[in-house]
Amino acid sequence: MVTLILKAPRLRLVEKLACGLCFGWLILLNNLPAGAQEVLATNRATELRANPDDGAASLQSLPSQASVQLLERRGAWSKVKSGSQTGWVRMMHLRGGVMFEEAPPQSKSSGLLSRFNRILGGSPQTSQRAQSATVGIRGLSPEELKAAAPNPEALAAARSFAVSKLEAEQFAKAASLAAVKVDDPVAGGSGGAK
Amino acid sequence: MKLSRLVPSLMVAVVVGVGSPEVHAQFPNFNLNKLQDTLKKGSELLKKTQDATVEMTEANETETGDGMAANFLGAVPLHGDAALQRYVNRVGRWVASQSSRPDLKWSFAVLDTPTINAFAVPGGTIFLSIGLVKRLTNESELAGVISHEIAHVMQRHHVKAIQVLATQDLLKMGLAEAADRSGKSGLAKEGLKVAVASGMDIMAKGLDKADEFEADRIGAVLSARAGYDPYGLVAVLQMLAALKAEETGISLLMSTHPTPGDRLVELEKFSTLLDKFSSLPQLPDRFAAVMANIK
Repeated sequence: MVTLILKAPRLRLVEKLACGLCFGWLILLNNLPAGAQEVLATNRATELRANPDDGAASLQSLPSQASVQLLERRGAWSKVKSGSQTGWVRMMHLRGGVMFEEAPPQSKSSGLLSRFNRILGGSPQTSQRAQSATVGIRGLSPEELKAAAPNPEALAAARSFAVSKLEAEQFAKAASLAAVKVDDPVAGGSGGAK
Repeated sequence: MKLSRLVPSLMVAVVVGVGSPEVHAQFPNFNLNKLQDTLKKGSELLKKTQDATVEMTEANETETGDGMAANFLGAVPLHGDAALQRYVNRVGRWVASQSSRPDLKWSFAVLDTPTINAFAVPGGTIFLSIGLVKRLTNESELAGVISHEIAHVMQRHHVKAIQVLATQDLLKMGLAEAADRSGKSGLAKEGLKVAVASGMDIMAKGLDKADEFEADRIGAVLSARAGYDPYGLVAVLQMLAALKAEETGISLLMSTHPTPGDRLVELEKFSTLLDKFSSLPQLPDRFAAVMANIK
C-alpha cells in the first residue's frame, strides 16, 4: 500500500503524504482492540447488575433493544456502559449488528470509518469489491477456492509447526490449564467424555 | 429417492414389453439381449445410489484432507509469524486431545488473509485466517473457534457430505468401480480426485445448518474439557454478530454458516452447561503476548 502511494506518478508529494495519513488512520481504526467500539443492544428485557452474578444488585432495568457500549467480557457476563452507568449484563442477553441499520451516534470513530469506506468504494454494495481493489484482499472467495491449485510445499511448511500431544499438554500445564470432565448435554451426541 | 425406485420398475416393464412378439414383428433386427444388458447395468448403478454412498476409510479421509489443505494453501499463503503458528498448534493440539479422536494427525495453520474465516478439512488440519485471529481477545476465544472446527472433524461432517457428493459424481462419470461400496478398499485413485473436488465444493457452499449448530454445541463442550471458559466461543459469535454485512472479508463465512444470531439462539439452549464452566480461565495474557508481534 505504501509503495503504491509512493510510486503513483501523478500525485505530488504533499498529496502522497495526505494519502498516507488517510490510510494510516483507516488502518489504525481497523486495528483498534476488539470491543473498543462495540455497541450492542439487549435482545430482551434484562438487568444491569453491579457484579457479574444473577444475585447481584440491579443498577438499572433495561428494556429490550436498549443500546449499550461493551467494555469487557468475563465468563457468562459482559461489562457495559448504559448512559452514565456501568454494570454487568448477561452475554446472551446482548446482540450486536442485527439491531442496527446504521452506525449508532455515540460511536464517533465508526462514523468516520464508514465515511472513509464510502470515499474508497462508493455505495455499501460496491464497497466490498472496491475495498478488495484498494486494500488488496486476496483469496477465499468461493470461485478462488474451487479454482485453487495445490501448494504442497506450503502444506509441508504448515505441518512443520505441528506439536506432539505431550508438548501440548506441557503448554497447557504452563498456564495451569487442566482437563475437565464434561458431558455432552445431548446424550450419546459426541461419544462421551474424553 | 422415489424416482430412483420407480425407474427400475419401469425398466422391467420395458423389458417385458419389448420381449413381446408384436414388437419383434415390427422390429425384426431388434436385439433384446443387448437391451437387457444395458438395462441391467443401469439398474445396478441405480441400486448403488439408492442404497448407500461410498465410504471413506480413515486413510481416505487423511488423503482427501491433505489434497484440500494443499489447495487452500495454493489459494492463500501461510502467515509468516512462526511463534503464532506454533502457538495455535499448541492450543489446538491440547483441545484435540480432549476429543473422541485424539490421535489424528492434528495440525493447525494461520492463513495470511485479512478475511474472517476458519476451516477444518477431513483428517484434522484446521485453518484460521489472520483476519479472524486479530479480532479475538484471549486464548479461550481462540480455543472456542478451534473447538468448533475440531468438532466438525470429530463428527465427520465434511466426510459425510463428501461421501454423498463424490458418489454422485463418480457414478455420473461412469466410474462406479472407483466407488467401492463395501468400504473395504475405499476409494481408488480416481475416486480421491473426485473426493478432493467435492470437498472444495462443500467448503464453498457450506455444511447443513444442523452440522454447524452441532459443532457449536460440541465446540463448547470441548473448550470446557480443555479447561477453558466455554463462553469464549459465545464471545466470538457475539463479535461476528456485531460486524456489519458489508464489513470487509466476512462474506464467505456468512454465506457458508447460519447467522451468528441464530447460532447464539441455539447455543443458549445449553446455557446450563455453559454457566457451569464459565469461571474457567480465559487466558488473555498469553494470547496478547503472541499477538503483540503481529502487525
